[in-house]
Amino acid sequence: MNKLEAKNVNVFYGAIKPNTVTAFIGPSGCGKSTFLRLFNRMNDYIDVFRMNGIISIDGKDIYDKNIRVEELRKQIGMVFQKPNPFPKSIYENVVYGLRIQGIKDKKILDETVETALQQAALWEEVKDKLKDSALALSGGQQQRLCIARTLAVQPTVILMDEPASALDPISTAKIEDLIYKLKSKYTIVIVTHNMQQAGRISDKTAFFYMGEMVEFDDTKIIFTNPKQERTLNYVTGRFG
Amino acid sequence: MNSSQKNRLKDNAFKYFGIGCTLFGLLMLAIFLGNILIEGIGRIDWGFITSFPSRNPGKAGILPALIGTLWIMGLTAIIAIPLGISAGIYLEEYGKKNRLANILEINISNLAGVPSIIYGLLGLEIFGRIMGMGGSLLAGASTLSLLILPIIIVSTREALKAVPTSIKEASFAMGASKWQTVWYQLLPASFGGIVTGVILALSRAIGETAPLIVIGALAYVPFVPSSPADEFSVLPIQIFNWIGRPQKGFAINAASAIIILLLVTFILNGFAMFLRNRWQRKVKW
Amino acid sequence: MSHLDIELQQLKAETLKMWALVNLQLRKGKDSLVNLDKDLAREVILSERRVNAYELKLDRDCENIFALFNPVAVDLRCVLAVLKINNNLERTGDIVEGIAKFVTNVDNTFDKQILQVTRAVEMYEAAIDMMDEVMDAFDKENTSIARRVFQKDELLDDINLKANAAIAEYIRSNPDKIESALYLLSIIRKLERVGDQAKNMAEEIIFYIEAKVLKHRSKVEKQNNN
Repeated sequence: MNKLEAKNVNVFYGAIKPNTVTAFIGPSGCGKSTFLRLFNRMNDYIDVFRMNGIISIDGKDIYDKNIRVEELRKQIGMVFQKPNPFPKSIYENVVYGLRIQGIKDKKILDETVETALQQAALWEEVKDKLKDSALALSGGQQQRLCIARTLAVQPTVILMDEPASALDPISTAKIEDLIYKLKSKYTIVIVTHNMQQAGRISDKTAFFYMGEMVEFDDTKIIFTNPKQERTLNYVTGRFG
Repeated sequence: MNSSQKNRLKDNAFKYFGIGCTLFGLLMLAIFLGNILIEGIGRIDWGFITSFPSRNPGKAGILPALIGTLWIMGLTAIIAIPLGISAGIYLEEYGKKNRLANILEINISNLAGVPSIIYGLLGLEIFGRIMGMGGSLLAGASTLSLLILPIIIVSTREALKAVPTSIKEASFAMGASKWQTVWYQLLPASFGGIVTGVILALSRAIGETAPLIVIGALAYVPFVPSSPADEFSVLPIQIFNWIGRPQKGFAINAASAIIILLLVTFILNGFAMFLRNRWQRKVKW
Repeated sequence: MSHLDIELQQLKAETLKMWALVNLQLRKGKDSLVNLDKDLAREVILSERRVNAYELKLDRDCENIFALFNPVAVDLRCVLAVLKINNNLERTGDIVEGIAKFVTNVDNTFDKQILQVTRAVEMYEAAIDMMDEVMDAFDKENTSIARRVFQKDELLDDINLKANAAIAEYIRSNPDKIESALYLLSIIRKLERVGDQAKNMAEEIIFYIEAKVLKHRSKVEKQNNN
């Protein structure tokens, strides 16, 4: 069974298996972020947005009329390019997803905060200042907090839109390690400008160019012996 | 003289011109305030605030007008704030960005520029006559609400726009509905801006005279209004009325009433500034 | 531990597995030679295929690590060293296969005495020792163990040098055993090359850990360059 499937969305035919990391690479403006946002319907807010084709999770079409988009987004979490914690406390950031689901039980909330922060490798750094503002954290910590916030609602898929592009190399390495660890429990799709990052962390890589998916294959193959000339030119840095 | 020296000279010239312009504005304000203060400060005492208007300038007070102003402020706030903020939220967050929205937007901006006496005529017809409120507090407050609605709507929209999209996206991506996003994220984050806009709008309403005269606010009110259906007067009308009298004593009364009116306005503005600073410090992006 | 660290660890583990297999091949080759055990020799020849499979796998792993992780500094030297050690191990495997082939070819008239005269068994044991030590050095990432190997190689060189004279002497006294003698001579030459491979691998290990290039230096320099 495929976790995520995209058919006929502008020439893309591909399937994403559970518990893998899939990377979307390509030059700026090639449509990889837009494509990623199809999976949790974040493009719905664009007034001129229109989609042909089918995207499905666990075999269910997510653009079906009966799908409630809020439910879908609990299942498919998203981490953004710029760390965007809410201007609230660390604790409130993590429990936000539960609060909007109407969960009030303090015990559940406390437990969720600890588990999620531990999964995001942030617990040790913030356990004594959960009531402090999330905006006081460093950029890398904020991004891990955003990941923890996403994990707190127990999604099965996590979409990441260039999660490390605004961070310094050390924070980037931490995020990459985290992604590698999270793979055992989640299906991860990541957009990245950084080809080396795709190589380091992903199992599958899709190369996008001019709004079109050029090649989708094992990361090892994309980086050692891609089938398409455009992919080869891109990964070897001989583009254009 | 080379070009960089020339530029420097121009730069300095503009600097001094700018200082001159600023000083001109400040000077005028200072003259105005000084004049009013010299004339009116001596007349202000407890009796002036707690007395009813009278034919004798020495005995006349502003009690009904002050209470009327407070009534009007309160009622206007109750009517205009929920309407304005809700409309602002709808237009900014829910409404589709199509041509109708564009037309609506332009019209709201235009409404903010309509002369206030026109609102008075509108209020007189709709609230005073059709809805039968006559010259009551409610009719006056409703009219002023119409007047400041566009300001509240526009400032609410601006405040919401200032919240980074990333926060909105984060909330949506967590599975929050639109309303949850507005309630938990956008309103708290834009609260400072909205409150500032609301208070500035109210302080505009406080000084409005024309629409209230049109709907029939009284110049002479020998009682304190006790319900929204009562007839009323407000400070600006009282001032207007006193200024028109020939006796010197009433001119002094007018100056004193202006000081009180300015005080109320300054307090409101100060409060707005305090809230804005407080919330801006709390919410940083 | 970072993702790259995990990959490098797996790479080293694979290398050690291949190494252990090659060393086992060496031992079996020696036993087959000493006992003229042709079955064992054939087993060695068959197992050579597994060594080759390891070589291909390690090559591919190294390529993937280069392509996906862009290793630098010590990580880069590690992968480079493994790439070359892989090559050396494969050569060693080929050499053992060659020795085993000789064993399968010799007839029953082979005179075991010649092994004593030329000190071939002693040489073989020294070569195995060297391989074990270099493998140990790689496993423990210990360069002082690697440095000891250069000294051991002298013994191999010594035996190799004297082998010509010993073989000539043997042939003069046993003209009917010329064939055996020639077989053995070529085995001794092969063992000398095993020693060279071990030495190269020791150099790679030192390059990997200390970033020092010891190729084409004299033995004294190699041992003293700490």
